[in-house]
Amino acid sequence: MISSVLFIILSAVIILTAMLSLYFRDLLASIVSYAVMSLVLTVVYFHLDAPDVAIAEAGIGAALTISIFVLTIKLTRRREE
Amino acid sequence: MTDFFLYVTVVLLVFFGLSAVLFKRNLIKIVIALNILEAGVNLFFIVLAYRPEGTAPIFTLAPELEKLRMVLPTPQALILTNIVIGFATTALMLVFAVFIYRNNGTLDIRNLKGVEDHD
Amino acid sequence: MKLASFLSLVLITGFLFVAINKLHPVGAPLGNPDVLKDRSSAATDIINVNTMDDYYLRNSQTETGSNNVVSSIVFDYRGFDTLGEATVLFLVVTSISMLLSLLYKREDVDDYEFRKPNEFPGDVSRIISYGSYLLYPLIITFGVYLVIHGHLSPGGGFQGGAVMASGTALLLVSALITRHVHRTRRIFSFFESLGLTIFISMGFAGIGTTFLYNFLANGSLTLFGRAIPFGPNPGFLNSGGVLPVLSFAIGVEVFFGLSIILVTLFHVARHRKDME
Repeated sequence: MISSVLFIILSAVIILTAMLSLYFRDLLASIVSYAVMSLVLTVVYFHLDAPDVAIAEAGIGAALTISIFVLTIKLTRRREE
Repeated sequence: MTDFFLYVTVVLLVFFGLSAVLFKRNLIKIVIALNILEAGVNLFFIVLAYRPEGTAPIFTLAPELEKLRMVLPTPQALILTNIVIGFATTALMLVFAVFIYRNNGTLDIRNLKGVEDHD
Repeated sequence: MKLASFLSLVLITGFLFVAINKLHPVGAPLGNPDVLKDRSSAATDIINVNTMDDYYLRNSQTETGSNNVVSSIVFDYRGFDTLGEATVLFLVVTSISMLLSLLYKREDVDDYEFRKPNEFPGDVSRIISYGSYLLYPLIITFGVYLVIHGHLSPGGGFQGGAVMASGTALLLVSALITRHVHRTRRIFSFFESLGLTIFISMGFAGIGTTFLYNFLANGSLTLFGRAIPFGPNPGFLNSGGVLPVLSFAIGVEVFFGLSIILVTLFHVARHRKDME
């Protein structure tokens, strides 16, 4: 019962942050919301008994993807017009 | 009850990612939406591989042999490769976005040079 | 146009919702219930197993000699897919490096900010610099641990390489590698090519049977060849066959490749002064 409630809460957070990431007009806020979604996805992967995938998603999705996004929006615009 | 929510999460992630690819105008928003779509597909595979009352498919310090139930290891191996390739694809798309911005001065997909309207 | 895309989106989502109702329920009993009953079945018993995953779970420990079933699938049973993935990563790093070389001039290179390590640029505080000095060796150590223990605990080449590349991102944030960018990139690209070469060479070393054959498993005790009995055990570093070597090669390649992407993009981005 406990794990069902945990999965429901985590799934709700994933969907909420994914929606927020596509809603913001400031691209930096959108990227940070995507990083939060990736972090919660790592926790879901761990609770689904997949530790290899969790380490990979934490290292790549939450640390490397947003650093290249930040470097890209430094080279282009920051606000979506 | 658990599986129903996780499958619905997958479908909603695919829906949001696909709708933002179709309807958003900023190029970087489209790249973020492609990443969300890819995260949904990865989650789908890992949910498929899950068995309740199972442990991770690793034999080091595992429970004893009589009560050993493991989740399926093959989808996890496939998704491991997919995550790294997804990052590489995103990096290449962002470099293209940088070049498009330098040529056109804007990232709006309707105002790019050389794009014809069909309606 | 917009109406057509909206209708197709609704159609696709409707199909997906119908499809998840027809998937097999997760509450079903676990895989094959008698997979672990008879432990004396030979490793080549492929007649009585039901699914591919049951075969992997039953036989991978005695065949490949590693405790981590996912690593043995990634590097031994499906090593060819890993070769394809390493090639894709190499290709992407090459094309990014080639494309971004159009965006900077060659002259403003190595003497951009000639500062001593004790002087900080105006916008990096002391906490970030000293914290990065303390944190970077720990991150590298953790990455090397993940790469080396790929066949014992959750880890492997990809995870360790990604963690070490995030250490490079830490150095970029704290402005600790801003000089000698071109020399850094040349060293990194040499090691990245070296990693992929080691992977392919280990694949050709077992060409007597097939490409990427695990010729070191269950062999001599001096070279990763210890035989592992079936069942839980505390893990022996000496086991795994050719898996630790392949994992090390992939870890080296992923780390230096992703670091090249970050360093090149940072080098192009830092010349732009205006950001609205």
